Amino acid sequence: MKKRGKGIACMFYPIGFTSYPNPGSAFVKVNQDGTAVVFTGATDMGQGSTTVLAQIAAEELGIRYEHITMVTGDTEKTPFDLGSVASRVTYIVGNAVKRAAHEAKRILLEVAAEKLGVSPDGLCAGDGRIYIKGLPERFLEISEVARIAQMGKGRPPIGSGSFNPITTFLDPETGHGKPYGAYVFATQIAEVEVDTETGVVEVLRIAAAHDCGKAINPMLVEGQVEGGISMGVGYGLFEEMVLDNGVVKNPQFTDYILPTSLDMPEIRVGIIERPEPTGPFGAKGIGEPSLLPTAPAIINAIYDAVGVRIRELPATPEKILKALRETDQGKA
Amino acid sequence: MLPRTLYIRPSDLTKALEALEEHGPGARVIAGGTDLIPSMRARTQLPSCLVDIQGLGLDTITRTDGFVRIGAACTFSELARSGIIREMFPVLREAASAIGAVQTRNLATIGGNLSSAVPSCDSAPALYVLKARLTLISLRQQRAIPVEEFFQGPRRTVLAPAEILAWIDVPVPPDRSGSAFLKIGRRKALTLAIVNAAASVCLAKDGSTVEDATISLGAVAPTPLRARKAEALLKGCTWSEELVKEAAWVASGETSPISDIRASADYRRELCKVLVRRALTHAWKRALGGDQR
Repeated sequence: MKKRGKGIACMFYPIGFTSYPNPGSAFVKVNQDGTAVVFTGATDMGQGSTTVLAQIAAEELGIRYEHITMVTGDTEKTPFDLGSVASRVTYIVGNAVKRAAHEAKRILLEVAAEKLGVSPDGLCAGDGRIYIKGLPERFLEISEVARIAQMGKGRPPIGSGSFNPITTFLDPETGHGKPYGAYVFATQIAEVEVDTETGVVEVLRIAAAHDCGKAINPMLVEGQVEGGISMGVGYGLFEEMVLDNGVVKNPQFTDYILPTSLDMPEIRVGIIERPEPTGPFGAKGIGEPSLLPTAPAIINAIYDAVGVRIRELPATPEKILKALRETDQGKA
Repeated sequence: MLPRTLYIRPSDLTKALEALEEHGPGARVIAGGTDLIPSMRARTQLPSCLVDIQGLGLDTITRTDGFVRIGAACTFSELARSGIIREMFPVLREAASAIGAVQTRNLATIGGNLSSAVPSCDSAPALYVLKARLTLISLRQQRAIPVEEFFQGPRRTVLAPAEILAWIDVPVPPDRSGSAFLKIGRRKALTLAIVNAAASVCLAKDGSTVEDATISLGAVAPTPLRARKAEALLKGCTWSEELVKEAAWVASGETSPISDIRASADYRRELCKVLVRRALTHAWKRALGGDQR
């Protein structure tokens, strides 16, 4: 017989650790054709951080995203970066890119201010132009300003920026302190179908609501959440390193089981935006948090479906069937 | 890295057999290579010469009088797509669709799946219940054997050196018969069976007496097996849920599963009971003409 159940799980997760120095950094230069180049050590492993960092630079500089060139990942040519770990790139390196872009923009604004006869603070950058706040028809093209800055004023429009959430070592006695820069929150709901005769679980649907401060690229946020859920499904149902006297018995992907596309449920992602004051444009992070609620939601759904509590992952069909039998015997 | 080896792609069957003869016991037949190539990479198989049988015209499915002939080099994607297979042997289509993933099925052949002779081989249970016969050809002789006589143990078959599994003849099932295949692996694709099972049921004219039934199980013994005691229990009896449940119990008792990284022997025995009952029930529904899916 197949029985269905639903389970819910919530989580919060810290972004940008502060208990050790955690700097991110970037260089930005604006070219005389109005394009810009961002140099950063942050590495995109496919999650889309290069895209997001380019969007942050474009937004800050007021030029099109397509006009940003990213130089990333090669710490011989770029500022060093701690790594694409701890869900930190958007929050930490994003802030650094924003600061570097801001510094380059400041030069452009100062040069443009002279031309337009206003103070730099009375200017904005947007749509490839620098214009007077409230008077967008009075503008200069950023390409022209960049040319004047470089060739006319001898002030190349470049910037560098770093961000390090204030390091606050934890109290060695109590472990208390402020260990992270920001926190994200999420809830996932899983619906499963359990075959009571074989113990096989099918995850039918997962709804995932994630707070990430500000979704700089909503499609990438969804992609991260979907990818995280696939890892969560694997964590909950399949993945296990089998040890025998310290020897891994399944050191290859034929026996270390990851979910395939056919094992994936239908996923609905809801993005919750509560801007984080310390994040770039309010953004926090989304990488690791996306997988955290998945396994517990599935385990709770299994409990809802057939009344057995699996307390050791993965919840293999064999474990579930054994637990079902024990429950039956308990009743009898 | 793949070890260097001689590769021959003959243009007809005789040339293939001559090549195998000439290069001796170190020579191996290759078709899709989905099993052989990873084994060579892992150095568990190191053939001195590979004879490719993909250009010999052994990749066709043809209907003849009373049976369908399936070339050994027919891929599982071709089998799963074939109108003849879908119409006449849904059990084989189910087995073909359960193997590997789409990419594997595009390469892997039914002859290769049988010749690799792993206990969890998905095509064997389906061919067992269809009572298929295999034709083995060498330069000296051509012989046809029931599929069950092909396997001798894990990765061991009756194939002699320089002998090729050429084609599989599957008899057209009688009227009022149906068959079905089921597999449980650790995920939905790209997985070896923890247990797989196939069953066929042929009903008498009265529509309720079991004239004939066959049950086959995989991954629960050194070779795919026929559960003959369970079959005998069903034969001549009136179909009932209790009867099928009992037959499934008996079938499970005919297995000798091991515990391994995929599952324990106990769990496999439990799955045997469930899968045999479900496969028989599905086969019975098909025999009644109610469910061709």
